[in-house]
Amino acid sequence: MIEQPLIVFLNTNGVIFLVLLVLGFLYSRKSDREVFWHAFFVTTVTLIVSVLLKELFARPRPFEVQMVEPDAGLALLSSFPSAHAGLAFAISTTVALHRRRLGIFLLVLSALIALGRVAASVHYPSDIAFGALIGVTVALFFDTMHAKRRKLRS
Amino acid sequence: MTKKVYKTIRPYLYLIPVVFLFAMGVLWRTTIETTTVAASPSACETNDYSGIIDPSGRLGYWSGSQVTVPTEVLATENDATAVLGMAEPSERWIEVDLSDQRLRAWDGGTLYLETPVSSGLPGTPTPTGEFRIWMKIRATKMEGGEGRYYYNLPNVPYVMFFSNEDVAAGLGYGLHGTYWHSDFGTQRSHGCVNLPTPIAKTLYEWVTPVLTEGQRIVRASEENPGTRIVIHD
Repeated sequence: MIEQPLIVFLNTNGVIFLVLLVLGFLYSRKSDREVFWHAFFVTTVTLIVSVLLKELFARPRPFEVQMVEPDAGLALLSSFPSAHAGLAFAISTTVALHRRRLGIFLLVLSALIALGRVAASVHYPSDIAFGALIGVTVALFFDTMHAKRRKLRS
Repeated sequence: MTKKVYKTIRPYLYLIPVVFLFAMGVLWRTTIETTTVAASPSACETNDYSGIIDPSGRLGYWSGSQVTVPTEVLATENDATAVLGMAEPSERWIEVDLSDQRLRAWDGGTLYLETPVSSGLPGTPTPTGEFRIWMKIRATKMEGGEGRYYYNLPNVPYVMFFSNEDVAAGLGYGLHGTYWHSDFGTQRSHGCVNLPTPIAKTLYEWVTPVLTEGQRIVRASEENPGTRIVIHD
């Protein structure tokens, strides 16, 4: 059981802030405009893919099976796969492919978001693993589409 | 040549895990959809035969959403007493009309009680025929189904399980009180007959096998037979 409302809030909405802040940051910098579009498409596609997969798998959330109160919101759809993990890893991988240091920092944040969802008993670890897999593969797919033009900076 | 082919298909190789997951999802969904319809003769699965109300069972899960067990259900202690009717207990019988979604309790030839009920959904129908109550239990936890049909309902009150030669006792069909919905008169259940909880209490005390003071569970026997239940369309 998590007592602090701040952590509950972060477990619920942290990923939204992460995605919006990173997209805003990338958009604000002219040199990162291409990264912005990459990140934009990646997050949109990951969201659609994971919501469709949720609807297909229809797995009950752990808190529903274990009969406990969840410690985070945004848990109305089915459990598998985790859209939170998917979105966080998608945008972090995208950034890591273009700007290594910031990307690694974001990947660590994504892992924290994912672990928080497990701790709040709204996800099983396997939901997180497959959510992250979807995020990373979608990011890599879009990366190869514009591989020629991108420049790696650290 | 092969290098060129590889270069063009390389981006799409990343889609393999996603496509694979979609395929697994379709397969998985097909399995749950077909098994819940075809292989779900067990209705209100339970393996808790203590009859004791579990005060920690405050949250239930039914039809894709969470439900809270009302405090009345948890608060009522073992209050069941035998009710003396006009006729002999052996003359009492219960009629369940599936097409009307109504239950009538008959005391010989006179109507004792009539109520709307919720029987099994088309995928998990309530069996028809003539049955006898084989067990009464004050409260129990029911869990079963899969995927979106998964349910986990603690402290289901006033359960009266029925069976006959064709529908074995172990399948768990019964009449019981309901706190997770109040759409009586429409089909809602996984095969059991859902009753409004106060009605379930009245019936529970009215039907046989007779409970002795303080008993939370009783099985029908030759000396203490269960009430007849007739279920028809």
